[in-house]
Amino acid sequence: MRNSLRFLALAAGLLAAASRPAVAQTKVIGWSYDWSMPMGDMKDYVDNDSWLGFVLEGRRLQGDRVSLGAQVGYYEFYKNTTDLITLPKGAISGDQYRHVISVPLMLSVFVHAGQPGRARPYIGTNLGVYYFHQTIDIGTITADNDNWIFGVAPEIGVLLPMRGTSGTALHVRYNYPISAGSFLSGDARSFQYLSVGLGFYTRTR
Amino acid sequence: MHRAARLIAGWALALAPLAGLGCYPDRYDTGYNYSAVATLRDTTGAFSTATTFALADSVVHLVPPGESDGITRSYDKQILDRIRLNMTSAGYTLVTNPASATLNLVTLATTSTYSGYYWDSWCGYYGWWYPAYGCGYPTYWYSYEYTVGTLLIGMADHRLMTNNKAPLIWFAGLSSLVDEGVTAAKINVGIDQAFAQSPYIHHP
Repeated sequence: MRNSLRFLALAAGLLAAASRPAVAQTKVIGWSYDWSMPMGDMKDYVDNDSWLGFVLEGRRLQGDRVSLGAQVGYYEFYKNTTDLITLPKGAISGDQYRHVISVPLMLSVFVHAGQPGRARPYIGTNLGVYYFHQTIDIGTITADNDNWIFGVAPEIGVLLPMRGTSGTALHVRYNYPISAGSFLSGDARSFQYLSVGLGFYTRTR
Repeated sequence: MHRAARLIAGWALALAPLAGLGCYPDRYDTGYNYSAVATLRDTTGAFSTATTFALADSVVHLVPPGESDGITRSYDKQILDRIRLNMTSAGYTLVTNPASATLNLVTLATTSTYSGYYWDSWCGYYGWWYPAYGCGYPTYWYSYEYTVGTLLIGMADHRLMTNNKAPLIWFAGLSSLVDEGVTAAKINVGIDQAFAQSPYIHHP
């Protein structure tokens, strides 16, 4: 709970700092296809990179440099394994199918470099909640559970304008949910992953 | 009009990748083996100081009186022999009288298809079959599910017997090893795995 309050306070502070009277508010709406590499506890559970990642995003430039936005993502990680599961008072062996769905729902703050109409590198962070659905099949047994966890996702990227109002985007994002919830192991976990995405966007005023 | 068309086309393009998501890819692929072995232990169990063991001479089938579970008994002897072999390999000496053994082992088979397994149920049968002992400890064992033919192995510590009940200090559940498709080799592999993932069952 204390961690959650800290994140809310941090999110409010960043959004307040970034909010300025609008000068030329350009909206950017787009989506990206992401490749992801599991990190942290995610790597322990599903040590496979994922090609199943997708993000819808919108951001509004506040002047020339700062943008505020929101994004929703969808990621799947999975692995077939025979790794021995060690429990505090025992063990389970057998073929397993491990699967995680992650849905980040984030607000974002970015600082952009470059000039309008040219490549615009940016750096910033996303703050919000992650929904995780964890599943394991072992033998004939299936177990799953759900968790909602606060997290932060620092991101760097670049917007590359193409013809007209459209463009492509590249980004690298580190998804860092805090260690919380109650996963199938019975304790809190931080299912982190690094995402690299290629996207397309359109600009409007 | 062009603006609306572009908007629709844009969202269609944006949402297209969603079609490939949420499908649990590669689940239950052709090589998936439905057998699994779960072992649980009492962490205070004195495995290393035990010296002898007795093994009940038949596999108990957990069915209500007068009913049949359809599980073949043709592998019963092999199952018991394999458990005996693993126990002697772990350094314990076989004795025939359960009352003089430090560890008492019992083997059960079930084809329960409901989720959630209640020790109370098989404890009743256990007590009926072998009235000198009982169970009901520890309670976290209630949380396992067995929906197909399952072989259960329980190990009780005779030294801790109170009120004619000896607590279980080790338990193994081997799923999909007593139903259709099972082979002698799979049974041996499963039983060996139960002991292999329980290295604390060892008398030096």
